[in-house]
Amino acid sequence: MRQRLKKILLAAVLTICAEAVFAEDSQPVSGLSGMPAIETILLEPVELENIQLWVPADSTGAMINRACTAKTNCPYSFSLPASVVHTKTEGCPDEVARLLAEYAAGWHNGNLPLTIFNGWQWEYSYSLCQFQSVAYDLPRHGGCWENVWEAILTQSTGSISFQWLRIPFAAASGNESINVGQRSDIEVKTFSSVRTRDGYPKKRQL
Amino acid sequence: MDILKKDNCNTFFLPCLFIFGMVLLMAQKAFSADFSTAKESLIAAYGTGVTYFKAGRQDDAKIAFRQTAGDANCPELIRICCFNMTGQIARLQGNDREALEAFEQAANLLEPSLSGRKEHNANPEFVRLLCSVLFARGEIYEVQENYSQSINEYNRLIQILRQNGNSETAGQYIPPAGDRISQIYLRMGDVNSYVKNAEALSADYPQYYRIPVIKLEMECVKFLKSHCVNFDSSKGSFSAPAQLIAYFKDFKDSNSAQEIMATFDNLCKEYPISYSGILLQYHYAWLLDTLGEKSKAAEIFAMVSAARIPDNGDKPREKAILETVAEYAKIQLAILLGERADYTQAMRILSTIRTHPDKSHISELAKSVGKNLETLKREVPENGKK
Repeated sequence: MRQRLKKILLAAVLTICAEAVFAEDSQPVSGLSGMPAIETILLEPVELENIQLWVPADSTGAMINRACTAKTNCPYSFSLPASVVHTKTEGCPDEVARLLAEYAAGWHNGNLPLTIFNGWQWEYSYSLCQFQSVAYDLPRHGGCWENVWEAILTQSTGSISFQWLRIPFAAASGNESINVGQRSDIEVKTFSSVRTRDGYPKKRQL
Repeated sequence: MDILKKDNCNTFFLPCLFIFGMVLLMAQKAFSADFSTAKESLIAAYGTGVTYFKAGRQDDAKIAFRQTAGDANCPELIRICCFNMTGQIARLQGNDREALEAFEQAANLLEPSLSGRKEHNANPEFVRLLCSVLFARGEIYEVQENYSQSINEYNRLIQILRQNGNSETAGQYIPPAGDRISQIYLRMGDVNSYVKNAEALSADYPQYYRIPVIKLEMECVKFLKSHCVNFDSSKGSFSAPAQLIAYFKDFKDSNSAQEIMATFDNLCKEYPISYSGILLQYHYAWLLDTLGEKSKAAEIFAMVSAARIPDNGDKPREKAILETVAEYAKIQLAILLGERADYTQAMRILSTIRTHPDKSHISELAKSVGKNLETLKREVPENGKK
């Protein structure tokens, strides 16, 4: 009986010592594991898809001259409505949306001014759309059929996403979660290199 | 055990050991309480910075993060987050220098943690955070036109992910980083390095969604480099197909036309209809149109305009671009049909184009082309007879 009590007492002593010694080594993890996860911003890379395409730019009805004298250098002007559509979700900080606008503007700075409103939004007024002029000749009793113009469209479609990343202190807890992401989206269209289409038919006699 | 057989141990050693253990335990508990209190105060300080940020007080937030990170007892996780927050705020404020410095500090703490030397290695959130800060550094340098530094940052990210990232993360970040590297080389005017990197990307990540377009752009760049003295590579390769078509519009280079048509044709056959595949077809149709192959061009425009555009909300950028491409393909097809006096079919195609209340270019163009076709139909009912 006495021997048994000795063994129990020794086991208790060793347990206490082990607890005291080993607990100190693991303190940084066990002491923080119950603490709340840390929130930090995760800003994903700017995703911007740029394309340049030839597109039909404008078209007019065939110009016809029924008079007996030819006309030369007739002017024709048309506008190409460059456009910007820039949106953001309610929780997306203004600065994040503005960063996307500035990034996208870099691809259109020759054609479109970066006009920021509301602190973040790139708004583009149609009064600033791109004007083009062409000249054409009309033969007497004839018409001009070169009435389609082509241009290069540059379209940038992009987004930037902003999330609050929650990182728990304990690596093994596996409870990382990300709240609903906020984002800003943009679509910019500009035109360049306008030229007359080499189509068919060209000139007609009436 | 010998210790149990000795009486002096029974009467003296065991009680002493017991008391020593109790003292050690109490000291450890007391230290633990202090430790937790210190950490809790640092977490609270970090939380204050976050609150400032959410309230729009960016400068106050940065001060809070700087002070928290500077505390000698600051746990590494909080320090990483402080540097990340400081970098992000500085970047959003347009303070590139401060942002670059803070991101570098965050990256320096995160990088070793991914090499298995720290307790939180392989944490996917750390990998994402590291990708975010390194990408941010690359983007800042790119916008500054500090191209060599930008390439270094993207390469650094790729190396880290190749060594430590799982395949999903690597597949998410490496192809866009590689794509940007090749684009930057081209913007620098280094065509050979551009081609080398674009080819490597195509070989390593054939499933990357831009690969068909990358291959097309690469062929266009090679051609323009050797044929066109005015080739402008300052904005990267995305403008190369349009520049190549412009070259053929300006110079009817019939010797090269067959060669480049064959290249386009092969690429279109290689890739099925997908986002990139539709873009390939569209460029090919314009090239054919430019080179006088109107019938074949019309066939491809018809195919592109009828292509099914995925509407699952998964890829909004690709969807927006495909919608643009499909609408312009319809209009160009109507123009081609009008030129060969197939007015009925041309008008039918135009009638399918959606109208926009905001007078967008596409809807206004569709109207004017339709009006033009009406005139042509009246004046030139059948082209062949005129």
